[in-house]
Amino acid sequence: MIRLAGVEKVYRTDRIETVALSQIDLEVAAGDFVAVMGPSGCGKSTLLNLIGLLDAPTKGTVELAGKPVASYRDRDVSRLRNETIGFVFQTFHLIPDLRVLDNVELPLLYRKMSGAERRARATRALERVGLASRLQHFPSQLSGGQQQRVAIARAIAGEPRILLADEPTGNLDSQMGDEVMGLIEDLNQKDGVTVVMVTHDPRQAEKAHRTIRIFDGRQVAC
Amino acid sequence: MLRSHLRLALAVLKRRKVFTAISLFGIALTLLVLIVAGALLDNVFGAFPPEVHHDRTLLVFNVRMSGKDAQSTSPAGFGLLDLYARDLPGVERLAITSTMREAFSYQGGRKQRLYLKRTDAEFWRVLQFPFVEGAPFAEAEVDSGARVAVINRTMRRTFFGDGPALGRDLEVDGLTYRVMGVVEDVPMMRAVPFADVWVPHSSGRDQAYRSDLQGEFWGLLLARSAADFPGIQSEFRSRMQRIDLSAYPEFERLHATPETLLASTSRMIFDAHDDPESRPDRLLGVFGLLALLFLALPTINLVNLSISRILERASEIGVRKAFGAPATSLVGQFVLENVVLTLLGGVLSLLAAPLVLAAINQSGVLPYAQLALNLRTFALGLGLAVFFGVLSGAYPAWRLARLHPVVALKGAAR
Amino acid sequence: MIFHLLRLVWHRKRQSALLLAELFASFLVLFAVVLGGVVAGDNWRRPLGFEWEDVWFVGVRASSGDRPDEGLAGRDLVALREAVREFPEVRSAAYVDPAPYQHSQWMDGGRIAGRRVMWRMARADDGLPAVLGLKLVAGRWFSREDDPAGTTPMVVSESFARHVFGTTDVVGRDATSEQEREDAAPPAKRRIVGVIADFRQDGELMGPEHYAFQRAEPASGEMRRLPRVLLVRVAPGSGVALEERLLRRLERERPGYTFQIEPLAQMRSSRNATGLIPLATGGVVGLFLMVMVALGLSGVLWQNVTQRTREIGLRRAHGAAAADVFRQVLAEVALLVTLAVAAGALLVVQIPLQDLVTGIRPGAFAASLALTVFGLYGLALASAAYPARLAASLEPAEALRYE
Repeated sequence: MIRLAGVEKVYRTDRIETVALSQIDLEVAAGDFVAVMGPSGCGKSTLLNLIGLLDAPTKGTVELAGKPVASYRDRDVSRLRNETIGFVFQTFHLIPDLRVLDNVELPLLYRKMSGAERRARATRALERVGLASRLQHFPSQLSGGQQQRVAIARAIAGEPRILLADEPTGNLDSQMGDEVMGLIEDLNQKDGVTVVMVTHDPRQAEKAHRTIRIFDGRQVAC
Repeated sequence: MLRSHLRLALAVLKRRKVFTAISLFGIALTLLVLIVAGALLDNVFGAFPPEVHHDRTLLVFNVRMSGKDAQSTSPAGFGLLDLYARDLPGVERLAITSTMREAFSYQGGRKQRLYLKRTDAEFWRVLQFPFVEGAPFAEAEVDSGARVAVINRTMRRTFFGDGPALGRDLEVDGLTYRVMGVVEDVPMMRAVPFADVWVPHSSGRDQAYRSDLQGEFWGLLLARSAADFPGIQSEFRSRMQRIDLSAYPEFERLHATPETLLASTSRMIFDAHDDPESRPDRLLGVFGLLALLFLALPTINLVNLSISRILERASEIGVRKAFGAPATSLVGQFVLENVVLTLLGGVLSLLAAPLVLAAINQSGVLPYAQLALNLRTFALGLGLAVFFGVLSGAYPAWRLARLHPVVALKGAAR
Repeated sequence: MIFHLLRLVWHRKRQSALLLAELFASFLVLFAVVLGGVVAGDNWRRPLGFEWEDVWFVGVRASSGDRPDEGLAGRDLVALREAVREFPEVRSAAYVDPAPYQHSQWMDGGRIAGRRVMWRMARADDGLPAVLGLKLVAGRWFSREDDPAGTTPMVVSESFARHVFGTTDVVGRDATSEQEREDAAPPAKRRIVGVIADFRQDGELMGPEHYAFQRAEPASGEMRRLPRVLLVRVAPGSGVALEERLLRRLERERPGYTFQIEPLAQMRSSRNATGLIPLATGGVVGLFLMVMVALGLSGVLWQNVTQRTREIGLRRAHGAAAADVFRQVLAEVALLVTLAVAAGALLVVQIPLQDLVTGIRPGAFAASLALTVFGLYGLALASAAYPARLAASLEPAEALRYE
């Protein structure tokens, strides 16, 4: 489902080059659940950004769903992201000015789809995370756990085959974190969604099928 | 998608009340200035009664005679219109009126300044003045040089109180006229119909004007339809070329073109009296340029405010990008947001505009001004609002839509 | 400190560039409005060179239709002037064309004594100084002794004399324009007989311009163009009744003519009102633009401060006092204003340097520039004050915790 070959990422400014990632070869099969661990600043998030096509590698290739990402033209990657990938962020990144339902509809906005269909799908996604009663609330009216569940609903509303989660439980207490983890596991097991999750927490990493460790931009163990 | 973006735009504007208020203040005042300017121009150039046939009227304003070392530009002479402009194919009526002239009356021991026009009988048919009482003078009065006058309502009040004025005498520049009709006031900005007192062109002391090529008269050609304009213009010009100039040894050529009010004004402003083409667009270009120049500062101001407003939502841009929003869609969203804002400002300024226009009418700076919003100026206001919104929204939207998604998600946009 | 700030401004260069553009545009708008006002004020308080009180304008037209100066006859004009002078209320009467406050101007120009000069001019008869109270600085006004001369006598303003000859001691000098084209007719001979104090035909709002009178005395025989304005000085307090009696008398004297009487005082107020409309409009629009800029700047800086909460917290943590933060925000703004003012000033000084606009005295220009610079600093710092206070009032701990 995801294949990275010889991927390197270097950040350049006027004077210095920072190597964020080098020599990354990674294969994630469809339905896999991979946890990415490592200390702060080791390049975990960079890796996730590369898989999520939010960033282009300096060297090497990224393959999604069996097809190499040939061009990083905005229109092409936008479409690919929209159709195949869902994101969950540590800080939720819900849009505070939009109601829960509108937030969840967001990925569907960039597809050709009627408003009613969009609404139906978003409602279904919210039912899935157990927030069907909160459609008309604003994010600020929800608890952190609920907000992250909305974020998960948003990530799955477009029925992506890949879910990328960047420390999804990092801002939550352990009980809420477990709830959120339960949802992610459920998606992986019942729906066969491929999950790549960056985390600090070994307890959460255990729930993955396997763990990748990154240290100083290099992959250290599988 | 549009609905969702609209809803978000309103939500954002509602949440940042101070920002919205500051932006709206600038937008509304900017548009107010432009709407008032537009209403003024509309009152000068647009179609208002008594000019009911504005769209099929051609005007002959100035005549230029030129030779090797000499050049003379002045309003048309009565003779040029009377002798050479009659029976043009496609023209229903030819009306001749003098340019307005200041005159004084000492009636009743008081001195009154007034504006006088000397016209023919057709003037009252090409232009449809609403008569308060009486009737216009006709061929009989003009041919006999009768001292009769049509006055406006304000002059009636000034000279005769509020009662009827028909048949009463009015002294102007030492001559006594009998009032034949009273019409409603016409704003001074309406150059063609405006006057306080209209009298037959033949009623003055002197009759030598009848054969002049240059003088103080304007011609109004009422065409059957605007489609006849080109034919009328070319026939008119060829007649001008045939005029015998042997009485003017210093001049070789004579130029005059019947054209619309806007084109004539453009010709006067650019001093292009011998240009064979009518170029009303040049004048419109100047107005457009002035408007753009005026818009420069408000635009930069709004761009700065918009960037601040949108920057605050860097993470929203990041999320949208992550979920597959293409840059074009983000540009569209933020431009739309800006247009919503400027349209709100436009509505505010359209609410305020009638007050400003009424104040200008009251002030008497522009005599008899009847400035008001009409459908044209209203549409102009909304059009300007959208234009201003796109103009000031395009750059911030373009810049922010290009934010790198990773940077945007961190919220560290600069 | 200044370099530190410069670096900060540089690193935020895109936002700084836009703020700079806004301040620069504001500078130009403010300067235009201030310059208009200062020049008008400067002109207003300078002497006119004539007295308009109790002087009436009498327009004379031979017929009601033709070119206005055609058909006038010199002996008619003399007779009309005599008729007016018979009135006991009339102190003096004289012809001039164009008259003060009239919407009409006659420009002349040429190379005289090696100097190129453009000047405004009028034709006048021998009695004008008494009517308008013209002040002779040197020489004499026109008189009968000019009758036989083949040269046109001329009375010039002091500024004309200084510009061309470098002195006001110019009585008797030749002021004939040099012949510039071979095929042109030889220019008319002109001789200066007198110098008057600077004369401003358009009145209080007119800028400094060179002025000259040429003799056109209807009693002295044929001439190419006769003046068509009779100025009449009347006893103070004369009113409409006298106007009407004068008018009837003139109409009786020459029935083919048309006359218009208007006190110069009336023409003056309408002329000045017309002249002030663009100034007032520009002032109102300029004021609103400045208010808009002040509010806009305030909003942008406010946003800027909230966005930089972390940086400010860091500074506080490293020992910057609240007052230091306040000063820093203001100093950053002042730095931007300085850049904008420098660019703007560089641009507008081209006006006097390249001689782009005439009629602006150097003093007025300098004063406008100073006022604008002062005004822009005031405007920007005033709008920065609230955001700066906001920044200064942030608690260091809270600032660091932000987000």
